[in-house]
Amino acid sequence: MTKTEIAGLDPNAPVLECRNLSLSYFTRSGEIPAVVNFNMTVMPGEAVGLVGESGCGKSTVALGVMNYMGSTGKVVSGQILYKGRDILSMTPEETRQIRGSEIAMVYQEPMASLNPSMKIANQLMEVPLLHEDVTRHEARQRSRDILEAVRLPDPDRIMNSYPHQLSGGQQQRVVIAMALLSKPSLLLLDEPTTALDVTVEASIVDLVRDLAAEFGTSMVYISHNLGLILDTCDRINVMYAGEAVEFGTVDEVFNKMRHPYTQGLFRSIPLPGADKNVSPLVPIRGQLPLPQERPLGCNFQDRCDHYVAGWCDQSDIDMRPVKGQIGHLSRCMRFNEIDWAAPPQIEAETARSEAGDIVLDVKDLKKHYQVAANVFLGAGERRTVKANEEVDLVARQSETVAIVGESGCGKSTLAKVLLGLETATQGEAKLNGQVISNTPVQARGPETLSSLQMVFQNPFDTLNPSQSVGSQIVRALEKFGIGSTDADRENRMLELLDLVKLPRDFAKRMPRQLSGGQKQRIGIARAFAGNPAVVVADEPVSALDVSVQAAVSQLLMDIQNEHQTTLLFISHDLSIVRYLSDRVVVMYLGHVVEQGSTEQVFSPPYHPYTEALLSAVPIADTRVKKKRIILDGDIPSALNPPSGCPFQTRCPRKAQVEGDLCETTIPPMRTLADSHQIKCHLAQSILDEMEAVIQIDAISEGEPQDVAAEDAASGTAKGGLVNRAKRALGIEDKDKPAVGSA
Amino acid sequence: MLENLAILGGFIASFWVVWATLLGAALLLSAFSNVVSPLRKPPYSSVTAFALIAGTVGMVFVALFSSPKMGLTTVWALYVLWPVFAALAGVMILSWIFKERLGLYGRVFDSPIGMVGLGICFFWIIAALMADLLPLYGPLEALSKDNGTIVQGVTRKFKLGAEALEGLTYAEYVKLTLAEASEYGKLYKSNIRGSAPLMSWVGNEGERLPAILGTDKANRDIFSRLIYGARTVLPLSIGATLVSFTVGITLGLIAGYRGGWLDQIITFVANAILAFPVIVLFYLIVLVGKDGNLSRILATAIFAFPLLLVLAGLWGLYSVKKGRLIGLLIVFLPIALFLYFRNTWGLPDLSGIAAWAAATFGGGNAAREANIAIAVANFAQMEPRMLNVFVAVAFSSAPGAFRLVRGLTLDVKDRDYVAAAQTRGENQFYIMIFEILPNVRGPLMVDAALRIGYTAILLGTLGFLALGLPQESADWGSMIAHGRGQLRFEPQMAVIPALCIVSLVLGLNLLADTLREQSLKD
Repeated sequence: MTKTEIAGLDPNAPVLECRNLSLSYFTRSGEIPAVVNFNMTVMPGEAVGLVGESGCGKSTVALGVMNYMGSTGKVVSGQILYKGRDILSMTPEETRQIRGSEIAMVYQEPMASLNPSMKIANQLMEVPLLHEDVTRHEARQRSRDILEAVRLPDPDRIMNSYPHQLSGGQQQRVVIAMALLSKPSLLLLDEPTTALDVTVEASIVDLVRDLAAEFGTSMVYISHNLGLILDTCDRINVMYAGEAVEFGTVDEVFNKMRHPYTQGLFRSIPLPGADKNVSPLVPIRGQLPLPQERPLGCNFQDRCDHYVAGWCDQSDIDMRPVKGQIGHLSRCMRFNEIDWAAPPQIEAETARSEAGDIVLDVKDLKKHYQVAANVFLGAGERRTVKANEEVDLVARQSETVAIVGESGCGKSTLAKVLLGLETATQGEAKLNGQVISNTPVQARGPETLSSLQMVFQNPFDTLNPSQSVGSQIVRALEKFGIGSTDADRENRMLELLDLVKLPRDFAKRMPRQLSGGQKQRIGIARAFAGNPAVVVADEPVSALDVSVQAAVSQLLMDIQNEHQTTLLFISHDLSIVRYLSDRVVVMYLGHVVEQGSTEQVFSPPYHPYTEALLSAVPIADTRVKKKRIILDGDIPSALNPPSGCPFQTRCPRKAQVEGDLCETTIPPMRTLADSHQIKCHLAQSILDEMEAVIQIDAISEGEPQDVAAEDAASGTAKGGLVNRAKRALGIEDKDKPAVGSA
Repeated sequence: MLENLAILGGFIASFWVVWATLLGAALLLSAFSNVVSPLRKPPYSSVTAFALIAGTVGMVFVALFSSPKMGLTTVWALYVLWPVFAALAGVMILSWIFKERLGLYGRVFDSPIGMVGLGICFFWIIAALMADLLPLYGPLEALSKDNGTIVQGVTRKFKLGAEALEGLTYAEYVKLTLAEASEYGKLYKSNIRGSAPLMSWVGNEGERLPAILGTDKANRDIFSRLIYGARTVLPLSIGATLVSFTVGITLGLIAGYRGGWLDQIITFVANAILAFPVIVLFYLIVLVGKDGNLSRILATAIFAFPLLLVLAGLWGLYSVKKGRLIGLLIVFLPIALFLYFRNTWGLPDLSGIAAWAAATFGGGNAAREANIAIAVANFAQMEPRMLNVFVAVAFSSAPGAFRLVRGLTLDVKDRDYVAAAQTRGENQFYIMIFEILPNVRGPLMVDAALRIGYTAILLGTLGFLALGLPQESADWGSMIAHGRGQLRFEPQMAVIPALCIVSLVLGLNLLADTLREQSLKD
């Protein structure tokens, strides 16, 4: 706690304390308890993480602390003490003074947090002008300084910009700057990086951590991403169905968890070394109970493997301390009895089918868009968006090819061209030897249509809200020419529901009656309706909760395996890519910068962009040590791409290339090992010297038994997780000491 | 009459006094609730709301009975309309009982607000249907104050009763111009004096009803005209609004979905129409199209939209089942085309068949022959003058609907389910009509409900310009126009029809709002 140097603040007294806090929303259908009996203390300079799936009450806690629950939300019981004073008993005037100056909040969507019609300078200056007695000049000076502190380039230009003139990352930095402007003692961050790209996220997380240390601010960091919590927080509060179920230091909760839900969460996220065939993800079964339908006793009972009837469901359970660990609490009746080292129950392994013939062959594919300001008047001034430049890739039967990159890298354009929603400007894509890149979707026959289908990203958008689930699948069958009668198609539709493990009576339901995961399953059923040869999955699980993610990706894999389908898996999440895919294609600004088998891409030598991406991925494992590579700036616009290498504006290794080669010439595609290609000017010697970005620290901070438990879980006898991870990362073959502090 | 003004003034004044008192009380209560903790609990808000509603209803009663005449009016109105209320209660109770099985319609009964809206709409629909069964005067029946005799005042060509037509052959009838027809009316109008105030006994006392809300300038019973007015207003305003919405929807979907130059052209035209004063536009239609052909041409274009929308929908839906498509078209197309050409150009001309039918089935009775001839000649055809209404409503409502649909389409067309439809090879008509249109229905329904009210008012405006319905038509808009000049002396003449429009618009709005909300619930 040495970082606390705020005048008048007792370093031993908590900044924020929630005591038996219960918050409810009152709607027409009655009281909906959002948070029940919640306890939390935040010490000065400390960062506390709130983790849980959507609907578990994380954000409600933050809103309650701000005393900003809206007209329907009310504090039912309990206290929120800010520096010893009860926020709830303050007058509206006092709360208004505290908000913004003492407690500040950063929301998920930066564009929605900034007023689009005000210049950044005026929005920032409002904070000191409102809360402190300062002159406009002073306020302006301070606003400029804080922009510098959040490492924004050219603060003067940004001061005079409107929010829409900034990129998402810059906007979020401005929001953070605004939050820190009046030096608050407590900063609430509600999923501050969820809307941002991975590399931008990494730099924001870095910034938040450094700033909190510098200003001595306490933080409550709300996230569903355990990896981010590990990177930022000291202590962590796991929430489930409105209750805190486990509370402790990051180390305790990550390595010695004492609640089945926490364990379930960790088992359902892919760790960097996990391979899909060796250790499949273990999803948590069932669904989060609705607030009105929470059972008596433990809320997790329906989904818990350790549930004992007559014991866990008798009365409300309190948080109880874990023996020998001060401050580690769990809301489980049986945490002393459960064998935490026991391996998870894994379903029978399915034999992985081998990659077959080439199904999809993309050669030199280019897609340029012509943009004109006005159809009538702008004919003279046309600009070109180069969404795809020279994309080459090959996908074989029953192979999973991951396409990785951040937003704007052209991965979605590639998918559009393949599906015929756009036609290629140049080059060609062949499906089973037939050129499809110049055939728009309207001109494709049912054969081609059904053999190339897509699973979409947003489960809430993937189904037409006005049509029943069954009729949407039947319509797809009609279009694909499957079944000769309506009854045939009806039957086939029910079979498809079986395939995605949904009950048959879901056919009559409307999409709004389904949860996100269920909708995504319907989306998968629809895509697989015509036995497709290739399925393009555009971030199919990224919008789902962690526990559902595991189940849905598992399902996708199973169906793919069964049908020998080629899966093009578009994602920005490298953990899941590492886990699911056979081959990886890394894209940046329309170019394929690296491709190869998963092992090749995830182990050195890397393309500098891949290296940075890997280092940016938050990994929820205390044993993992990452090399930190923070990329400067944002992805350049595809309207005005940089000359030479597309990555040269952000490349940390640009200095290692002699001369102005990077700025003048687009690097050629180099083949390193068989089928491992990278597009980079770096000399072979530098590539050879590259170190692995992700390293597993063999001496874990956890108890040895836990490591052993995980080893047992993985099913590998000797060497355990560390070796498995090393092998997966391709470290094993290298003769240099890759394992950091071993 | 000053008497009426006093009554209505008293009514409105007491309304505002009681309303202001209640509002003050509610404000005090909510201010107080921050201090008194039990009031901070949620039920207090519903108590306040209930108190406000109950207070408003009570206040209306107080105002009504504050003058004996007003009270009497209310009692008489309830007496006259009791079959309507009985039928309304029957429909509502039956719907309530079977609401679980009635789908979206049944779910309206889960919301009190929706029930109020539905009740108002049903009231007008049932009143319009039952008007002939109620003890009312005819909509064009002028009352004589002096001797209690009933005077027929008919001017409308197709409303000419057998009595007025006596001595006319069918051939002569068909040639009858409007001016000549009004001459017939004038014969009867000559002895009509001014209007009667509220609750005047104008008929034969003891036999006939009083004029509950008084009579208008032509001494016609306002109350009866209001109820009969629903017969004109409901189908015409709803029909015209729907037709103009199909214009807006079709163009909005195309502009929003296709984009590009097509979008720019359609949007430009829509903006130009919006920017142009509508009244001037109506005048232009009158001046340029004196012979009525301009509105026929415009109506030809406007009525093509519903037809094209349905055709495009069928094509989209059955593009994979061509057999079924052809079957449906064989049934649908002839009927649709017949209706389309009958209503725009009066083709095919049925007068030959009408003459034949009159001769064959008339049985020699001239009046019966004329009635048969009129019925056949007007089969499935609206009065040509009504085309003006459709054209006018299309010009005033369609651009707004277009902009709404276009904006919503721009939002919805980027959704994944639209992309999913594209990737399975759906044609653009299917995507526009079945993927996009159903998902923008919420705001559209609410907007349409509002515009039905505008159309009801527009009927009066058009009548005033001698463009729409005949001046003596009983529709509410025309009644407002008719009573406009008397506003200072006999406000009820214009105010009460205006209140009818308000109630219809309010009812439709509450209903549309509830439908939108309930359709999104589980």
